[in-house]
Amino acid sequence: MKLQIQKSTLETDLIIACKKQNAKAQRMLYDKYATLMLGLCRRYIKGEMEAEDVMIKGFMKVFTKINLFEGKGSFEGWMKRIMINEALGYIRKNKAMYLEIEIEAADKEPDFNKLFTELETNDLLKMVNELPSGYRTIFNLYAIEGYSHKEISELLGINENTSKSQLSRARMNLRKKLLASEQVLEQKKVRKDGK
Amino acid sequence: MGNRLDNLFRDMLSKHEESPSTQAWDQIHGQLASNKRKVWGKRLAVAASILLFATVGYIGYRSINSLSIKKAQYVINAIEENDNSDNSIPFSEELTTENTNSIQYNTENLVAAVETQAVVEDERRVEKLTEISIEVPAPVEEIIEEEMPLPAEVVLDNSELQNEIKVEEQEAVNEKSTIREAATEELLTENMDILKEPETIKTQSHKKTYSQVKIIYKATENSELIVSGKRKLMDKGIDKITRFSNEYLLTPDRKTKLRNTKEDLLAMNFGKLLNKSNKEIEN
Repeated sequence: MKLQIQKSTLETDLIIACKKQNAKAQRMLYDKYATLMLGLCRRYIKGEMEAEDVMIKGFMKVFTKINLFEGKGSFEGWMKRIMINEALGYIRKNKAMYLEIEIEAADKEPDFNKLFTELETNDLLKMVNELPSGYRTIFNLYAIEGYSHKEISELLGINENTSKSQLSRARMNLRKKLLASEQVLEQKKVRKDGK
Repeated sequence: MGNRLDNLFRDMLSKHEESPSTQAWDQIHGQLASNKRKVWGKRLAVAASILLFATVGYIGYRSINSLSIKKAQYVINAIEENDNSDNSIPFSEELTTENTNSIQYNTENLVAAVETQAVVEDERRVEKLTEISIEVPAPVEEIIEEEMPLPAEVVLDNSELQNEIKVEEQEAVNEKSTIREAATEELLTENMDILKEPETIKTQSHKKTYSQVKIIYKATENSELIVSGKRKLMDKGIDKITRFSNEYLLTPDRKTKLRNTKEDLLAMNFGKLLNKSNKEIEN
């Protein structure tokens, strides 16, 4: 509890210093959040370099608009929203978002508990990155960030139903990929047992 | 199904971290520094422009102020001069040597006024004034000749001698008067425009002499306002002010009118309100 209070006071001090454009404080804030923000950008944007560019732009916006942060809600959430907006701007600008129509039937349910223990973060990130951009964006926003379909439709300027259909297709795609990886894992296990 | 899949990805990916390259911070730092420089440049520009405006304003204010001081001085001069000249000196008039002093005084004032006027050139009402030249006589000395003392009670037994003496006396007198005449003429050539009557001086030299002084002045219509009475200008101003106040202040008539309209308006609104509330009650 004590630690948490200290942490929060440290962060508010950092924010106050950043509002005064203190370079040291800016560096500290960057060090604290850069990895998390880049991780977020990587979920939306395929290329590593592009994701980093988006993160840099996002941080510039954070530092220049920090005076607009009123202290209501978490600072991390505020930063995330800025990064997401930046990423969406990038996708829109590069016309990288195509709303695909692709029907893939998945006959089986993967074992999620098993996958959770055996899969690594990077495997999942790879799966998300392999999704067509429309699926990926909407899956990220809905499943991971927790936006509603209404919010997504407003953010992306699309129909609410389009958002829903894109999400269900993304899920189907991912399920397929999970099943495939499940199979790979089983095969590995069999080989190990055989030895 | 959807929820479990979503949960899997959320749990694994929402806290996913990746370390950026070392150049990332350098880029951010560089951009922030250049932003700061821009901001300071802007601030400097704003400060400089404010300073410029302030100085220009101050200079303008000062010049206007000094101009108005000059104007005020001019008006004061004019009024003083007006007071002096109002009753005493009508222009273009024959004046006796008795008033020459006062003429000089007043003409000096006039010249001063004209000079001041030349300084205040933007005074529009007197703008057209081109020249007022006043030619002032040099102080004309009273030429009072004491009566020659007649040789009192000189008994002469010889009438010829008496005649001789008379002739000599007459010659002496003539000589004296010619010398004086020459002297006066010399004096007069210096002061060209004094028109005098030399005969009177010559013949009535023993009496008080009168010299005719003519003051010539050239002026335009507008300048007459100053010369003939600057009070007119002042009066004009006062007239303007009174007219203004008459037009814009609330006269009793206007007040009653306003009150009536206000009452009418209130009555109308009130009526509407009444209608509205009545309707509500009905409903």
